Amino acid sequence: MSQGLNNKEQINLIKKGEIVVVNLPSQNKQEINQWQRIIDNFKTRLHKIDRSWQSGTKAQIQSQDTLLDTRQLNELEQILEQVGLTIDVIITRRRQTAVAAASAGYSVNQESSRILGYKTIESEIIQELAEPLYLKNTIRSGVEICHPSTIIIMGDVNPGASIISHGDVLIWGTLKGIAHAGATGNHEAVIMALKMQPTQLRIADLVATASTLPTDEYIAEIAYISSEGIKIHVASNFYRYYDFVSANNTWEMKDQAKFPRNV
Amino acid sequence: MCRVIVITSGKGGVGKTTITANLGTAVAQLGKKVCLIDADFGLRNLDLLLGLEQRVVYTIIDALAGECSLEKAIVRDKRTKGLHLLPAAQNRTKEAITPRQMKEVIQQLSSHFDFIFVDCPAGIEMGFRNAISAATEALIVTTPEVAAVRDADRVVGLLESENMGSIHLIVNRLRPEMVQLDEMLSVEDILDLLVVPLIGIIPDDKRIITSSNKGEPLVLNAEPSLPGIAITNIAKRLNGIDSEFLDLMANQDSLIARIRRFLGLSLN
Ligand SMILES: Nc1ncnc2c1ncn2[C@@H]1O[C@H](COP(=O)(O)OP(=O)(O)OP(=O)(O)O)[C@@H](O)[C@H]1O
Ligand SMILES: [Mg+2]
Repeated sequence: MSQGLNNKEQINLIKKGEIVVVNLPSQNKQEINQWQRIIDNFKTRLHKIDRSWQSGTKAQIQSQDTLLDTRQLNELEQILEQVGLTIDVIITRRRQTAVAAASAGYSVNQESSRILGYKTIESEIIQELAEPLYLKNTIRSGVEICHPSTIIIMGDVNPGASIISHGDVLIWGTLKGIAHAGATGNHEAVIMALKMQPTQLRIADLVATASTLPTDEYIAEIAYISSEGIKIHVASNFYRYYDFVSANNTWEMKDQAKFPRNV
Repeated sequence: MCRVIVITSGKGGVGKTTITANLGTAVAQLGKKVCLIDADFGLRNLDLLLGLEQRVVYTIIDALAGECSLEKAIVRDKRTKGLHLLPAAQNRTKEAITPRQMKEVIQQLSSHFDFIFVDCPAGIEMGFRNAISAATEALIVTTPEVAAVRDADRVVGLLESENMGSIHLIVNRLRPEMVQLDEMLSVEDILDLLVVPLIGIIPDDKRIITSSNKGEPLVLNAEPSLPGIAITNIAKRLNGIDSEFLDLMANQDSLIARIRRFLGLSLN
């Protein structure tokens, strides 16, 4: 069963400090049943794996460019559970995998754990290539979603959850948790929510906490970087009145908007 | 068909064990065969609350180790017809059993009972995984406190990702007078965040504590009490009796106002 799999084509566990990194092999050929073969191989090796960790240790899944669906993720979780590992986060380069993982309730990190390292050239390139991540569920406490491009959530973002995007964050629901737009340093990024009640808003390297923000507004709002830090505006007419001024790296009111039209 | 229901919360000390003991008793009083499983290894106290401590000889661990049959480990409650307890081991940790083993135990029991309630330990680690492994329904317990609700939210997310069949919410230790003064989260506030269907609200009442200390579930008390009625109502709702609450939910009236009315009525 485990024949024909060299080291690169199998699941490997590497202990790194407090966590265990689970490296999934990268998908090199469109082989039918490749996943089944890898899983079977992993299962047969399981009892031989040197368990130098305690039960309940967090596992970081490095799935690289492997396409994984919910069923496969559950299968992997069950197997890892047998060796005392709990999935903490799924790191992937594939959007479909990120979507599947996030909708199954896992924390997801698309690209790499370097997401908080600002202004890496590599991530800027990835940002241009990445498509938006569109999630249709409530993001509950304890879940963190990272994505190298715009994130759209159809549902609420509850307190204790965080949404981290290199692009914009659009929430078609109530934002009660933390949202970070332009996480790699893009000042043009914005956060939009039907109802803004965030624990914290971050855009690029700026932070605004709940107390500095108006509360209990029942209209769609947008958070953006102004010359005085993060500000909030009614979303519906924001783009009519504001422009992003690259020279200042801030959003500024358009000239014509400064003067009332019906004088 | 046996229904396997886990009682869980995330946060500790919100009333899971108290509710398991009382709800199990109340469901048995409705004529059902009920088994309560204490999944809180190392910190077992379901037997205490049921007043069965002296009668525990074997535990689930002994049964798994083949030192006794599963039947032998089960304690029959003589006071309440149909009520049984499968005790946890006090001297083991939560890692002493795997989710698979738990599943097997529950599978073996399921042909003998109408209801199995699993009292889940606090937290979201191994003990939690074990407790939810065989359950097809979950009752989330929260108190009207921000931290408890936050943990409940986390647990709901985890249960959703495990494809838990049905999830219902119990709000425990509500103090209407505090809600009215805006000193406590209201049931509406909690529902607004969790978006999980409500199955019961249990008021804060010191008789819960005294009955726990006596090892006598409050629902056994001949004299009716508000929390006792609340728990019996949950038992009924679990059995599809009494749709009063669903009407409550559908009504535009403030839930709290309705409950206050309900509290007032039953106190007369
Ligand atoms: N409705 C209530 N009114 C008053 N006291 C209550 C109520 N519900 C629970 N309590 C008390 O709260 C305490 C904790 O309850 P319990 O042990 O059932 O919580 P638990 O969730 O099982 O805790 P753990 O997470 O440690 O297992 C007990 O002292 C209990 O008597
Ligand atoms: Mg308990």
